[in-house]
Amino acid sequence: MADTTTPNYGLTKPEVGASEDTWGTKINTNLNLIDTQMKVSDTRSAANTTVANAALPKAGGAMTGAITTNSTFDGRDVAADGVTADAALPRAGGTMTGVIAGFESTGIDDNATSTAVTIDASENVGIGTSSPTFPLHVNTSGSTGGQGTANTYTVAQLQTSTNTSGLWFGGMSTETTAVIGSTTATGNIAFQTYNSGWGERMRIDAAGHAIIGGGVTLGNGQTYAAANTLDDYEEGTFIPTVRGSTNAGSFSTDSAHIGRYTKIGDICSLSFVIGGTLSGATGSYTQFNLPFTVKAGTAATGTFSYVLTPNLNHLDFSSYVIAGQTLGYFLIKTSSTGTPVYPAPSSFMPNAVQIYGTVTYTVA
Amino acid sequence: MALTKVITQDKIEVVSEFKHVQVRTKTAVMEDGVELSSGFSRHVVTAGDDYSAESAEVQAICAAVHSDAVVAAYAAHVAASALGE
Repeated sequence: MADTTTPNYGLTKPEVGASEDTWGTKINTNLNLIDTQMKVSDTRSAANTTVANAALPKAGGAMTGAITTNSTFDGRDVAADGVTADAALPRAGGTMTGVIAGFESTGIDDNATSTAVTIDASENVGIGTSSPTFPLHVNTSGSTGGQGTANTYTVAQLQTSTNTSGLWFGGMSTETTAVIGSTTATGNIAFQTYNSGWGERMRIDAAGHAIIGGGVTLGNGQTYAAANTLDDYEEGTFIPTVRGSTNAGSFSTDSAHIGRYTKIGDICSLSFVIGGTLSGATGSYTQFNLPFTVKAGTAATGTFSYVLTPNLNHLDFSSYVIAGQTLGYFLIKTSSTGTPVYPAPSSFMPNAVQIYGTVTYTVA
Repeated sequence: MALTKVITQDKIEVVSEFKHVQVRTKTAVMEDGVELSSGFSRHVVTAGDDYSAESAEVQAICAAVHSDAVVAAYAAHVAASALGE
């Protein structure tokens, strides 16, 4: 049987019953190899000066027990770090899980090396400023060419992803004027407040109309007062007609006939041209109709600048409106010293009349 | 893009103890359902007036509020505020 060798270092195992003249040489060779390997191992152990390496498996297995070190690992001083979070942070890729406790930062960088967002010790957040003065302080030159007119700089924009409606904020480059705008080209801006429920209180539509449902209080500081509030404005037309106080008769208007009113609060101003022909009217008074009822406890007079009534001789022509009524009364003076009188409907018939007048009165 | 003219009585008010029925008529120009412009015209139906030419809605209101008592009260009011001649 030939010589065999050990599985790791290949030491010669002399054949039993043979190698009578060679076994001594073979054993000596083996001893030299063992001596050499023991020296290498001893040198390596002395150089490492630690015993941890022997306990660390090269691959597989599970390390148990604490590792105490003051050396560096992957370029970092593991002992000085003294934290366990590093092990959970992927160097690249992957997903970090768990909570980072005690994280400190003065801001967030952009994708280069500049600070994009500053967060100071008071939790003030600054964009465009490293010294934020307010909880959110944006201080940038903004950008043009997007929202607003040509000389408008947009600094911030808040919008919904649903339909892109929202607000943008900025300023004008040509004057110290702040600008708030709608993010959509045809967007309105609505203001809502909560009063036992949300409701829209004011709107600026795309065409620039300011629509304020609750009126505008003027001259009373920040406090609402009905007496200081303009809550009604309306302008329109009406058809003024002449009629008798007993029998209204009928009034056929001509092309000059027109009536306009402007109502501001409870004050209504009329301007009209009564042009046409009255027929069939009777009574002690001649009246004309109003677009609103006269307020109780009030009365007013109106003036007529031009009156063409062929059958009516007069020096002065005016009108009178009475509380609670919806009609005005014509009033004339026939002499400079005489008392005004109320002409009867017959004075306005049968020929066509033209009466230009204005009346301002308080509306019920 | 069709233009339409829409006329509505958008406000009907009963005013004062004499139940004057103030009617506001709105004339609107619409384009595909969007209002382009509008204007108002007003008239008042007074207690005792003939309201047979009014809209059905106004007629119903007048019938409800222009009772004989209201008509008489308004006539009395006018007479009481008779003007000096």
